[in-house]
Amino acid sequence: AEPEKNSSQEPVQLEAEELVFDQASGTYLAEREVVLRQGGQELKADRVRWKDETSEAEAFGDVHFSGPDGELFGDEMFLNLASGQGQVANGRILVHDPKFHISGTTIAKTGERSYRVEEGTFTSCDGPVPSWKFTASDLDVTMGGYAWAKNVKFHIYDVPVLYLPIIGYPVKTERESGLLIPSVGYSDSRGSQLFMSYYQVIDRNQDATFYLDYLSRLGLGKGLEYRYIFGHDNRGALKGYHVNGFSGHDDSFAFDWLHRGTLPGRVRLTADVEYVDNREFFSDFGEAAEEYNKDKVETVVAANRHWGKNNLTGQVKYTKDLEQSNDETLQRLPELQFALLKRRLWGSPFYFDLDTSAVHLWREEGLKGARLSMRPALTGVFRLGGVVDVTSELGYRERLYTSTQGEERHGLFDFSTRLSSRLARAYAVDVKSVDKIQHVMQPEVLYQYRPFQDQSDLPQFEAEDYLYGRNTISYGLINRLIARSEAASGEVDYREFLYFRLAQEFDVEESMRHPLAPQGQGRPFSDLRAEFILRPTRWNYFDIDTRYDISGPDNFLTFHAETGLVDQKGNALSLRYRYNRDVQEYLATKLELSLLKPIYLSFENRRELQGGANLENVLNLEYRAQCWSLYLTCRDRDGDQEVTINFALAGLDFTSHPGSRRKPL
Amino acid sequence: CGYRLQGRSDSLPGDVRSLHVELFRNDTYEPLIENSVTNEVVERFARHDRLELVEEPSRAEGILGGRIVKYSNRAISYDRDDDIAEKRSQMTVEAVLRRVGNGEVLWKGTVVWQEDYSVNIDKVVQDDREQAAIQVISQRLADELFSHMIDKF
Amino acid sequence: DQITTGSETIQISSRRLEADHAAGKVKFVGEVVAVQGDTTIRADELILYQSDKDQRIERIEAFRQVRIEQGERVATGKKAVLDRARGQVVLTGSPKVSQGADFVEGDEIVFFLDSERSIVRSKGSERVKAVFHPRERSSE
Repeated sequence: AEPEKNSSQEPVQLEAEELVFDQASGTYLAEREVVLRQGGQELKADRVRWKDETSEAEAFGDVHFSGPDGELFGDEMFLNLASGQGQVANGRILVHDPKFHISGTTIAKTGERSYRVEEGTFTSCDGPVPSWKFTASDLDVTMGGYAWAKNVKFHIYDVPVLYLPIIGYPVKTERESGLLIPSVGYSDSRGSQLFMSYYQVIDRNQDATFYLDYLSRLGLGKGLEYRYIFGHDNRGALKGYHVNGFSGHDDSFAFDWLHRGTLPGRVRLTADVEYVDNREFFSDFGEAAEEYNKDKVETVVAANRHWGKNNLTGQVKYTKDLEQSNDETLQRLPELQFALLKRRLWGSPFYFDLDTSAVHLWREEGLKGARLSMRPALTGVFRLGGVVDVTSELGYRERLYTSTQGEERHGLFDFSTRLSSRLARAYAVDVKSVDKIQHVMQPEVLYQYRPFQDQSDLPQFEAEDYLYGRNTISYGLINRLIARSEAASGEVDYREFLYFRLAQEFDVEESMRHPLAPQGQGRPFSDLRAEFILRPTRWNYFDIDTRYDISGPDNFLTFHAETGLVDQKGNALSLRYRYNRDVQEYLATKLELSLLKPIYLSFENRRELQGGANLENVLNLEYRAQCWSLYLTCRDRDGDQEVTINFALAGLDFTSHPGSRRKPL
Repeated sequence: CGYRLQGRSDSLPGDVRSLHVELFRNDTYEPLIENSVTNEVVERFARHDRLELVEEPSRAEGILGGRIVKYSNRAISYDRDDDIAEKRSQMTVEAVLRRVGNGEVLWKGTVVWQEDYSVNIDKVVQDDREQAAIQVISQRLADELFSHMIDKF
Repeated sequence: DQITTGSETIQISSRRLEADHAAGKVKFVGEVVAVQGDTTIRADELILYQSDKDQRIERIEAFRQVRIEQGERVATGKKAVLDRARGQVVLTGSPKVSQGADFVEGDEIVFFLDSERSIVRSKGSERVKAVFHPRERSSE
């Protein structure tokens, strides 16, 4: 085979105190303080015999080989720089990134970046006595790839704590890996807790994690998570979790599947499946907010195919409500949508688009049926006096139903016109690296009309089954401030540091407000909505989204604000404030501190201000040693105080356990 | 007072005068959102009078395409019983403007927008609100995309 | 001048020659060029020492701008001493042997005439340095 086109083609440099050259055999024998370099590789030793023909080197005495990924130490070393293979007795490897120390009676370098070690030890701790290490009868390591080890013992200092016949783990950090990282804890509702997880690489594109969780007051949980990548881009993760209930708790089961991929015929398949058999699963097992109080679990499996700008999607959507009985929860089993996306008609100012959808709406008890719905729309784009863009759209929606109430149909027009413009002016400025600031103003007026027609004879499943009449004018103004800075290299960077939008709606005829608008609006003028997004630098932000009620007693209908600042040294503060009149007033605070290194602290508090109820405090303390970390998590919320202790080895990430369910793929 | 009307002189990067907008690819687990994003992008760019929208890609100077990189729908506030009170839908879109012919990248950028809505005991009403949020996000993303691409001063 | 040593004759030319037959010593001065078979030695000054018994050359010393060429190999230095009894040539004065882009340099280079071995040593001032380029290996 053609020799590898890598460092073996580069010249070899040899330095020593003495060099004996034997022309016949083409070998060089270098003595005392020998240094041999080729490409990124360097070999140092007391004595080196080098064969130019085969680029083989035999090194003796305090041998030190360093390559791009790591360093090899030993008494005697045989190395072929061309093939990257070699052997070292009583050798030691130091891998750079991620940082590992590997040693063994014999280490064979089986390739440019792969080693086989006999009677090896493996740790990421520096120093003569590592705080933890693995020993193995034999160990196969590929830098940036996988490591397989047989007869493995895990030691804390020199005490063997655990034996495993065989383990496999990735020696790269981007893949989550974890190896029997126990975490222990206690919580009022779950009793004493022991979470064990064991990570196993199956092969290049598959791996799995086994979970074993003992919760003294709840039960014994067993979990398996299997991750796969098949073919070009079919990737996903399946997770099953079963609990044998203790002391009166019945067994429960949860299932999770995330998948994304392309099937033959350019069909894209996605699945986001989440199912639990009993509604208490998350309130029992969920740890973090948004898990223990999860409101629903959803299963969405969809297939999609497009031809240019014509897009066909089929989906099945099953929702399980965790807060009440599911007899009446509406399911979409299945739904088909075919959209002809907006396209220009023969270079005219007119555009056409068509939405069609057919859905079978099912529920265990109550109204069931199917709906076919179509909406062609024609949009005209004009220029008024070269100043204002005019965009008018005329649509007609036709809906046909068959349901337990019989057959129905209804069709109605809708019309809207948008007048908009955009003005901009650049101002010369001299502030730090910013040399110009542009101010952009975008005024806009939108008239929307839909006839007021009674549709109560139609089966009422969801919003689309009663399209309320509408006769409104909404108007708004967006202001933008954009900073222009030119780097020394001449590269220009634009950054929008302020976005400020004001908007209001006026009833020509009293109409339903936008579904996202809160209740209790003034008439005929709606509240005044102000959105304010300020980004002075990359390290702080200040956002406000408020609705000011011009007619009501308390002027603010809603007041939502978020702010945060972070320095690059791991300190950060963020606040979220939510005020919705007569509904809620909520404040969440999060503080992260790295000032007390090696202790890293994060504190989170969530509180409901109107009732003055403190919802949750979470304190995370991490002691980060050179090659391991100890985590202490204290959660205090109404009805449950919990403490967990986790332990992680550097280079082997801390694994999640059943509570935190979603892991982005 | 020195404010000039956008559109008079501003053209897209690479001085593209005619543009074809492709269907945006959906790389998320949330189906159907690519339809509203693509429709809104087409309408927003159609309003720019220094630009001719073209349906035949080969006859355009530039092609605007992109993909929806991320869609999330997460809880952001809780009520006094510590039940979820409000949720936030957030979408991230990566767009690329290429010159027809040599495929040279004239502009590449990422835009993000989010819209909040309140949870409801009736999950149908809650889903309707999420769909309404997705519609608003699509409109705002299209405007953000246009504004970032036209920023040259 | 034709002088036979061993199996082959050496031809040496120079601008001036000083012979001291009694001491068995011949000195060539100025653009000295000595050719024996495929080896050519150039130097500013070269001295031959002949044994008094059979007129055979026992020792050659070359001085300043010494350059020994043998096929593609070239050795350079400030002083070269050929010692027939010990069968070796010692090159000193930042000696260097090069062959195409490959080269070796040090404080002293010793060539063994009988075998094809040579030793390069550092005498404290300059470490031995060698650079060689892997030849186009036949496909393994």
